[in-house]
Amino acid sequence: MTTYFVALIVGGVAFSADLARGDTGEPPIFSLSGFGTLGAVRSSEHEADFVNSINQPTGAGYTRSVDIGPDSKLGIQLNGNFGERLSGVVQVVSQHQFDNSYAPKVEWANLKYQMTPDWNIRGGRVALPVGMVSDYRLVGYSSPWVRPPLEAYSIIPVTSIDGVDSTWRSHFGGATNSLQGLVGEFHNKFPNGESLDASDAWGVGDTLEYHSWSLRASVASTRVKIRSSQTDLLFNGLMEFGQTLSAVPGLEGYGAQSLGMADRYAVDGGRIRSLAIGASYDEGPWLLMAEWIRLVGTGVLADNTGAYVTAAYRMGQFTPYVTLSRLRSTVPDEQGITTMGLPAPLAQNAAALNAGVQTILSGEQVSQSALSLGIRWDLRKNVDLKVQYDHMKLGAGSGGQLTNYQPGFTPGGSLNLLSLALDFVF
Amino acid sequence: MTPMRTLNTQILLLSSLVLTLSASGATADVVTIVSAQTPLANLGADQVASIFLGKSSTSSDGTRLVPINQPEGSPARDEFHARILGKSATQVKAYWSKMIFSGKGQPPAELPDDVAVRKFVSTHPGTIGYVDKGAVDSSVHILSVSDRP
Repeated sequence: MTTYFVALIVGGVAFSADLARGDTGEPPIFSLSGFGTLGAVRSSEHEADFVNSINQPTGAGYTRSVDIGPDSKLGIQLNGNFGERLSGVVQVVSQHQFDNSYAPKVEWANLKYQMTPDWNIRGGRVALPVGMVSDYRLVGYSSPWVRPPLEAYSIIPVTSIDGVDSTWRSHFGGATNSLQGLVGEFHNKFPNGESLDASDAWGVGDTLEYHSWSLRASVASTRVKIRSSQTDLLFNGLMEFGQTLSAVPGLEGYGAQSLGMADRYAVDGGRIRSLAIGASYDEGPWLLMAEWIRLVGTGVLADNTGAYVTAAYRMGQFTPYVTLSRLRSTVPDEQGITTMGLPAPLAQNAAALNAGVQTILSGEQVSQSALSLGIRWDLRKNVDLKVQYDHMKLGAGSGGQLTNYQPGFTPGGSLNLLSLALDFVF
Repeated sequence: MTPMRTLNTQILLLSSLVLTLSASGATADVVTIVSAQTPLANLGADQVASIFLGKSSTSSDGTRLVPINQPEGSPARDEFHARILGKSATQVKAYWSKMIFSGKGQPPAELPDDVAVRKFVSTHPGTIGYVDKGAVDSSVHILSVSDRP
C-alpha cells in the first residue's frame, strides 16, 4: 500500500514536470490540477508515534523510525467552468488516514454560482475555513512550512464540511474585504473506531487584505456527538452505577456524583465553538504570520488554545523560516466518586469508573510548545524541497499530540523531529 | 461573444522546464496597456495588482477589466510581477496554488508574447495586459500606473 502510494506521488512529480497544457482551440470546460507532498519525518521519541493529525493511527517514533505517513499526500482537482457564472470543483485527496490506508477521499465536491462578480454561493462539500491557511492546509507548496503549526491547526482536525457557503467581497480605499458564511454538517472517523458526527454547524469568517497585510477573524460552532464503544461503556457504567446507588437510602450522594460525571463528560449533542484571529504580512523578502485559535469544548472535549508566530525571509530560491508555537489544554480537575464510606465491592466499582474517567480526561491534556527552524528551497517553478527541525516540549502531565503511547512513555518530556518534504503542484 | 471565450481559443499555457532565474537577468521596460477604445487613463498599482491577482474584476470607476498574462518565465511577466505585485515568480505561483486549491479562483489567461497580447488587447476592449514598451502601437494605449505605496 505504502509503495503504491509513493509510486503515485513520484508519478505526480513527473507529471507536474511534463504536463504541457497546449490548447486545441476549444474553450477548456474542464481543467485538471493537482498537488502533493512526499515527506519523511524522524522522531527522537521512540515510546510514542508522531502524527500530523489525530486521524492517523501510526507515525514516526515507535512504529517506524522514519515515516512517510504523517506528511505525504496527493491531491487531484478537477475544475469545471460551465459558462460565466457556474463552476464546479471536485478534489480527491489520498493521505494516511484512520484505517491505516491511503484510500482516496473526496475532500471537496461543490458547485459555485457567481451571483455578481463579488458575490458567490457554493453548495456541496466545501472547505471548513477556520484559520488563515485552513483552505489550503493540505497544499504544502502554498506554505512556508513542512506542515501548518500543529499547536494551532491540530485543534480542528476536520478540513471539509457538507453544506452551503457564500462569500461576499467588497472593495474600499485599496483594501479588499471577503466575508464568508457557511452552514452544514460533517462526519469524521478516528483510528480507534471512534467517530464524530457534527450537525447544525455554522461559521462566519472575514478576511481583510490591504497591500501586504492580511487580517482574518472567524467564529464557528457545531453540535457534536462522539460514537465510541469505549466511552459508551464508561458512560453506561456511570449511569447504571449512579441510578443504582441513587435508589439506595444513604448512598444517594454517591449516585449523584456518578450521574454528574456522566452528564459532565458525555459528548452527545453539545456545542463546540471556535474562535480564530490571524494576521500576515507579506512584502518583499519578508513573510510574517501570527495566529491564535481557540476551541471551547463540550463534555470531555477540553478547551484548547493554540497560537504561533512565523517569520520567513526569502533569499532567492531559499526561504529560511522560524516558528514559535504553543498549545494549552484546560482539562478539569476531576475528584471522581468518593470511595470513602462505600461498602468494599461498590468502592471498587467506583474506583474503576474514576480511573476510566481519568484516562479519557488525561487523553485530552495535549499541551505542548514548539520551536521550529526550517528552510524552503524552490527547486523549480512548481516544486519545492523543505527541511524542518522541531523541538517540542510537552506540558506538565501532557502526552502532547502524539499517539500510540507505549508503557515506557513519560508525559511532560520533550522530543525533536527532523522532517524532509518535497512539495509540488501541477 | 465574450472576450474570455474568444481568448480561450487563443490561449497557450506554457509549461516549460526552464528555470525562472534564467529569465530574470534580462531587464525590460514593461508597460500596462488597454485597448485604445477603453476610456481609462490611469490606475493605481494596487488596483492593477488586485485585477491580476483575481481579487477584483473592475477598476474603481466600475470599468470591468479582464487581465491577460504573459507566459511563466517570460521577462515581461517577471518584471511586471516584481514591479506591480511586488512578488517573485515563485511567490505568485504559491499564491495561485492557494487560490486554485481553495476553489477561489483561476489565474488569468495567458498569451504567448508581447505581440499576441497587444493584438488581443487592442481588439478586446475591457481587457488589460502588459507588454514591452517597444511593442506598443496606436491600437492600444499605455495606462499610467502609479507606483506601489
